[in-house]
Amino acid sequence: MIKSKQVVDSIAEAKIRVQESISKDKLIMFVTRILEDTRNDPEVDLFGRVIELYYYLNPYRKAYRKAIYEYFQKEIKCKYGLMLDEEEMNYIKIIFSEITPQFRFKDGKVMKGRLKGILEKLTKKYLPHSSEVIDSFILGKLICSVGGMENLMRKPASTIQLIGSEKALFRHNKSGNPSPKYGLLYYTRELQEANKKGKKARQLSNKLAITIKQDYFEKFAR
Amino acid sequence: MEKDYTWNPQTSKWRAGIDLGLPIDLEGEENILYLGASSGTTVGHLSERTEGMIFAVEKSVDMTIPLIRLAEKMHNILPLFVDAHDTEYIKEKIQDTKINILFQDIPSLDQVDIITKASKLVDKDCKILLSLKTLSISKQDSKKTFLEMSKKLEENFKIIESKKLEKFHKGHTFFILEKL
Repeated sequence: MIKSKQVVDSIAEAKIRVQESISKDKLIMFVTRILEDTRNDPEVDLFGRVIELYYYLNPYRKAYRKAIYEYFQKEIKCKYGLMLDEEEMNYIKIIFSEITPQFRFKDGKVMKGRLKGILEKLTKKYLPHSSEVIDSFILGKLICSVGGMENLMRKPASTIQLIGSEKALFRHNKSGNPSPKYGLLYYTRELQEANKKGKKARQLSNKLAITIKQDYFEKFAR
Repeated sequence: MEKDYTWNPQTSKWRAGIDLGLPIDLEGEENILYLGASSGTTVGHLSERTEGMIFAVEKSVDMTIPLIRLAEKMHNILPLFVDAHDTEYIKEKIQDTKINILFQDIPSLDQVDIITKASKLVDKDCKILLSLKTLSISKQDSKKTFLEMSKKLEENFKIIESKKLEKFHKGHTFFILEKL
């Protein structure tokens, strides 16, 4: 079975174009999801999250459970996938020095604080304007629930206000119950302190819709 | 891990069309332009059945990675990572191979516009196949959308045959078209 030159060229070009469009929001999503899991259960199995990150770093190399654990213990080399700089390599080293071969944290309660510190630094670097408006953990959750920065950038302010309250919204559409006023934004400090929560949620989401577009075109756009 | 190699009509619209009696089986020498290849379930089976080239167009990152992994195993799949609206890039990559079959399976709002734009790349005797999903075009009654869309198709194409795939895929219709 011999491949012609046209086939080989097009595979090589597709690899380069894929690599250019894998962006750093995948790393933010990874840290947010791990933090959310350990908050619910400090001894949770993390293998599913780790294999997802592994395939963004090496998209075309197949590996099994033991090889993946050994890969993250050594120095990370990535050829065709997401390119990390030195600072981010350090974050990953900190996370994986605490993981056992069964893919569980040695001490889940300590890691909660460390993961939060890493997430704050990452959001400050890649989302400088939005991280001033709301807490970094909820910002990460917003990105996770729509599946990436590019999808979130295309949403209007009224949709960002209601992300996370889909069940109540569809119930409202169907049977005319009162409509929801806020979704994930309810857990921010600004809303917890506010007297009129609906008004504050509208103001926050209007501000977020502007800053997210600002961040996207500064840091993520090709 | 062994993959299951039976071609299943529940996961492939092309196979469902063959099972319902449409004349779309391959003969062995065709070149295919496939818009909306996804992770390559159908493309993998087509590549075993033909000697010609298969140009597989896909836009999403997460779906293109398994498609490239598949293309490294087979000998005649050309993955193109591009939006299907961008016909200039596709034309550049096709060069001067003659396309025999054009297939489109992108359930989106402007599904008919995409195929009219892409049909300018092929000759007049090319077979054009389209799997139309009425549910993703409008929330109104699906019979009404079907009539509107087939009227829109008749401006640019001649409809040879159409069949509902209701038995395997909900809300899908398979069209066989020809250029006017």
